[in-house]
Amino acid sequence: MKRASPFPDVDPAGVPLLEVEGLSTRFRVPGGVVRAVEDVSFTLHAGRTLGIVGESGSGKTVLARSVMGLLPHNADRPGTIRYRGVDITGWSTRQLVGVRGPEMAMVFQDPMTSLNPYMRIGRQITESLRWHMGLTKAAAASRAVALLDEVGIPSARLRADSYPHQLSGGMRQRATIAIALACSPRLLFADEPTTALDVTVQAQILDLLAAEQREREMGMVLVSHDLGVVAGRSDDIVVMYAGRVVEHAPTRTLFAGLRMPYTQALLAAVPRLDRPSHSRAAVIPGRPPDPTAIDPACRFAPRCPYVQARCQAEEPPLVEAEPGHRYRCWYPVAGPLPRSAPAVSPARRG
Amino acid sequence: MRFVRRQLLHLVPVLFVVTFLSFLLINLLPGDPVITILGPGATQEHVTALRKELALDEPIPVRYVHWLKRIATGHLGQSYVNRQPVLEAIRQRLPTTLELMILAEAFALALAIPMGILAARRPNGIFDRVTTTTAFGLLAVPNFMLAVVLVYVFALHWHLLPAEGYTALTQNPFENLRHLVLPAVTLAAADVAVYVRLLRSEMVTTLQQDFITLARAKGLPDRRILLRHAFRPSTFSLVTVIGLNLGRLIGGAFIVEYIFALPGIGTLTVSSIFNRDYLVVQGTVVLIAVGYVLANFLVDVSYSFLDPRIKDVRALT
Amino acid sequence: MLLTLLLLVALVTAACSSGGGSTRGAGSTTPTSAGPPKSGGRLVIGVEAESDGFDLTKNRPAASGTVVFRAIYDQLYVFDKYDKPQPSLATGAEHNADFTEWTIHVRAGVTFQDGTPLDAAAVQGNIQAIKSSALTGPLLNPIVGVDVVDPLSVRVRLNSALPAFPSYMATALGTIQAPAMRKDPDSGRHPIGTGPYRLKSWTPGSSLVLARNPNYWRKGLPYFDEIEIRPIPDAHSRLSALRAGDVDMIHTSDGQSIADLRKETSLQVQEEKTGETEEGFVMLNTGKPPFDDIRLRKALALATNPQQVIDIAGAGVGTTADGPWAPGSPWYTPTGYPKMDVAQARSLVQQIKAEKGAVNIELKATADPATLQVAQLLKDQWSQVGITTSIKQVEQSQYILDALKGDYQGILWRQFGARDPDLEYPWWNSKYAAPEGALALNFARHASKQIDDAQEQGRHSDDPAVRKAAYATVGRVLAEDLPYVWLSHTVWALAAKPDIHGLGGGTEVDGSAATGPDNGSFSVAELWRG
Ligand SMILES: Nc1ncnc2c1ncn2[C@@H]1O[C@H](COP(=O)(O)OP(=O)(O)OP(=O)(O)O)[C@@H](O)[C@H]1O
Ligand SMILES: [Mg+2]
Repeated sequence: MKRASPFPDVDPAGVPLLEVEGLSTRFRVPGGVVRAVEDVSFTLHAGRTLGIVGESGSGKTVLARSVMGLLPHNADRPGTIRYRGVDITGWSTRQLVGVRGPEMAMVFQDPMTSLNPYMRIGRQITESLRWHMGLTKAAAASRAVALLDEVGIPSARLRADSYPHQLSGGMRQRATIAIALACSPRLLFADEPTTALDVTVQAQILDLLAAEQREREMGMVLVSHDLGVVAGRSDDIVVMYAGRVVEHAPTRTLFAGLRMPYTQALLAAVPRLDRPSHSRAAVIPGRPPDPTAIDPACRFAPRCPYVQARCQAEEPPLVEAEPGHRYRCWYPVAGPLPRSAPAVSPARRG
Repeated sequence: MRFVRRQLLHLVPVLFVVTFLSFLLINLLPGDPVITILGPGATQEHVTALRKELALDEPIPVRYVHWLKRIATGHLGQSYVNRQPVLEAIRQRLPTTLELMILAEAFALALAIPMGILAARRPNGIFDRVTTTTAFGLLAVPNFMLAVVLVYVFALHWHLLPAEGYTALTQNPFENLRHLVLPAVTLAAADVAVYVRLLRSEMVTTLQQDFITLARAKGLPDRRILLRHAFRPSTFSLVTVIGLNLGRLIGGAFIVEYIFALPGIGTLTVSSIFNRDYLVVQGTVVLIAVGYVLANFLVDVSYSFLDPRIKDVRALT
Repeated sequence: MLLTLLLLVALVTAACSSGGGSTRGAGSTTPTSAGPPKSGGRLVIGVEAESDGFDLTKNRPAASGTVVFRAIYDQLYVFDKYDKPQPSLATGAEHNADFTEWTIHVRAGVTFQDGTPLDAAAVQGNIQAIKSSALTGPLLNPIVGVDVVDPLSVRVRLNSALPAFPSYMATALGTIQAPAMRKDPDSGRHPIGTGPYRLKSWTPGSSLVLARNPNYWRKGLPYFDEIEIRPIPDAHSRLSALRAGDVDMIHTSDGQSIADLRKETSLQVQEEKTGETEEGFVMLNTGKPPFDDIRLRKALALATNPQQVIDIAGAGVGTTADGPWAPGSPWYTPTGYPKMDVAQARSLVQQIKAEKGAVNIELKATADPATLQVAQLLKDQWSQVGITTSIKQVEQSQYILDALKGDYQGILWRQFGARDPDLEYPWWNSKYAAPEGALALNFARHASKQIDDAQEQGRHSDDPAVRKAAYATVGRVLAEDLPYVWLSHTVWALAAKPDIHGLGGGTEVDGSAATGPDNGSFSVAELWRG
């Protein structure tokens, strides 16, 4: 028996799958407060994909986990999260238990650590099936095998009895996808699902996710540090830097005219297939700022090639360039960048 | 199987070393079983005669070799003092001590596991802090003081449980349990403290693992996550310490057996040491050494039950 | 680990102290009188120690073991209330004019628990076995031979006059064991006697069960069907067991327990009234320096405050001692033992210091806390007069050996509980004093012609007045020569639930009152519940 859902059976037309408004996430740590996510807002509709891009440490994972309520005890999370029109911001763990799984699911960054090494793969799938869908042991088991088969694991029946350490990295990530898909969620967070994997496997996994999304009409949040990965697979893109949204636009619009120097730098850092393998493209020089620091300046200023005095004195607000395209910069760049080299002489806004 | 054989081979040198050391130690201690037997009325001729009769006039290494030879044929000898065969004495007393220790560990774990898990659920939360303080409190209370308090409350005040003594399991299981409750609780107290702390800190570490967050993301309830996902991976130090703890447990059992007048290996060993009843001491030393090696063997085996990865590694070697 | 263990165990051990922590009290009883005795039922007794076995020729019973001995065996004689030996398995005895031959008649119609009849041959073999045992032989030194006179009489030949011979037979030495035991290598675990109970089962360290001997020759006795005896070494646990109702009866010589029992109203308490319980004292080795100097022994005696020892280490239970007998004993006479006098002690120490330099002595004590406390108190008291004491802890079995060998200066000791002073003969006689290194039963190595003479007089006379005078001399010489610095008389007490009767002691064969509890042991034959 399926558990009673707190959400309507049919969503009223036009209600987005997920609305996030002014979400901040802060961790209380001995040295102060880590502002991992600051004032983030976005909307995601069913069947669509939102790409979240940013360097390591920019708060992508924390953002995704904040939405699912998967935060440790030392976290504060002001802001509003509306899921299928219902405000779930203040929900207790007990209430969220019904949301996670059949409504939202997540594929984690690292398949080496996200599977329980002490439990057979099959069990890790069946336990949510049995818990959420009330399936019998046998039904859950055969459903688990079907799922493993669906995500492309060969001899799925045998693999269901394996422990995670007996599987390769790619297989493991497929298994975590199977786990995430088990209860047919409407919203899937894919948190850098390929970062830990071999380049050749990366495309397979991303394609698998895309196929599943299409088939199930899921909403998907695809997180990556690689703008290139997200580019062809998302409808909208949120670029994050130091916990803040620095640019947010429909994918097409973004690539037509990105405004944020950071996005530009990110784009320049995309590994290119036409370069010798393993050679990293231009890495953004410098380091992200200390997440506990609060000074009134553009967070990117220390690393920005176009930095001006104002950038160091005042934090720019998120402004709209055109409907749906927002950015956070005093001196935005205009138009797309030649894709072969980092920006050298950017045009200025008049 | 190969693993088992290797473990058993370990036992041999351990037994040699332990029995030789104990033989040496007790023989070098001042005092003499002959004086224990003869008492203050001893005369020189009688002492000499009895020493010869008990073969105590030979040098220590020779006696050790004799003892080894005898033990190789399965004879542990008999007590100098009451002439009881050592094996019989051990057989009579082993069940008490085993029961006492098993029960104590069962109590300790029955209390420590839920407490450790709950404490780890919210590190530094109210429950965690109360448990930590209680645990340290328990650690600080000496066995015998706890025994006195327990006896006062449960035996003298409420008349719920006997203050001392023992009834064999085969004779009356219920009475047997009643007699062992207070000693086992006394023995368990310090262990509870250690186990709670250990389990808690390992649980806290485990709960920060990715796979736990994944389990949360699957929408599993807290209870299931704690018990099914976090508990097993958090038991390694606990299992290790339970194995190592056997030594402390035996030491504790000695005191507890004495206080509660339980006829166990502890009281046997202690009185034999006092009486310089060498062969009985040797017998119990062999028993304890074998028990120790066996317990740690079981710990090793249980690792591979706890972690499937270990079994695979072991299969390879 | 061993050492820690020993220490820990010692920490909770109070029962086996060798020093004089405990003292003797006036004896208080909660009398219980209730109709005629009832038969049947089961009695559980908590005792202070496990026994090694129950063959007198192989085992040395302490108080706890003696309880079992007296249940399984009968003695030829038993002491009555007045320390007089009364016939038990014997019906009587005659002696020749100079007390060198005793003819003992044994009771007809008595059988051992294995069905063998009791006869003269059994008694003869028994006395011979006791005489040739390493444990008991030295105490029967005067015996030269035993002959069977008729089927129920034996004649014991002695090397010197021994009017007190029946007294010897009223102690454990008069125990009659079955002939079969002499052939059994494991006889200690298979005792066979003529007594009121037979050994039903024994699990050492756990429990010993006695079952009624249905053929007991004293008709109507014993009362209980079964008696279980459980060793509970820790004095506090033993008392707890009684209070919790786990056992019906206990014995104890622990000062604190007795002090507690005196306040108890829901239990009956029987303190021993005889004056022959053991004394606690500091034994001094008079055979070597520094205690070969009578002035130092005297200084020690004058500096000692036994009452403080009793109050602090013995929970205030008991009285100080001035010799081996307490005022309740028929053998007691005041000895003139010196009263505490710190000033005089100090001047004696000054004298010695002037002659020999600083006065440093060593006191040996067992490692249990009760004994150590006594040693510590004494050290403090003696330091008041300028004596520096170092306390040396020694473990029990080594302790006895040290005393036997004279390997000590001062040592805390507990002894002298015999009912007839002649039984203490070797401890005080110069024949038994040997130089250091050789085993000697005169542990203090104190040789006194006066004592030797008095002991001979006491041994060879049958005139109570003469004997009493002789042992008064012994007491007086000991108080003058001071091989022992007396501390206290040991107090033993029995405590039982209120429905147990017969604690005060049973009856003789002739119906007269038998002795009560004796040095912690007691007869179980006439205990009953009602
Ligand atoms: N539990 C926590 N306590 C304190 N700080 C945290 C915690 N979790 C994350 N952070 C901090 O929040 C910031 C954002 O981390 P997050 O893991 O979201 O980065 P990310 O964008 O996912 O990076 P990556 O690409 O490496 O996964 C980092 O500075 C990180 O150190
Ligand atoms: Mg991340």
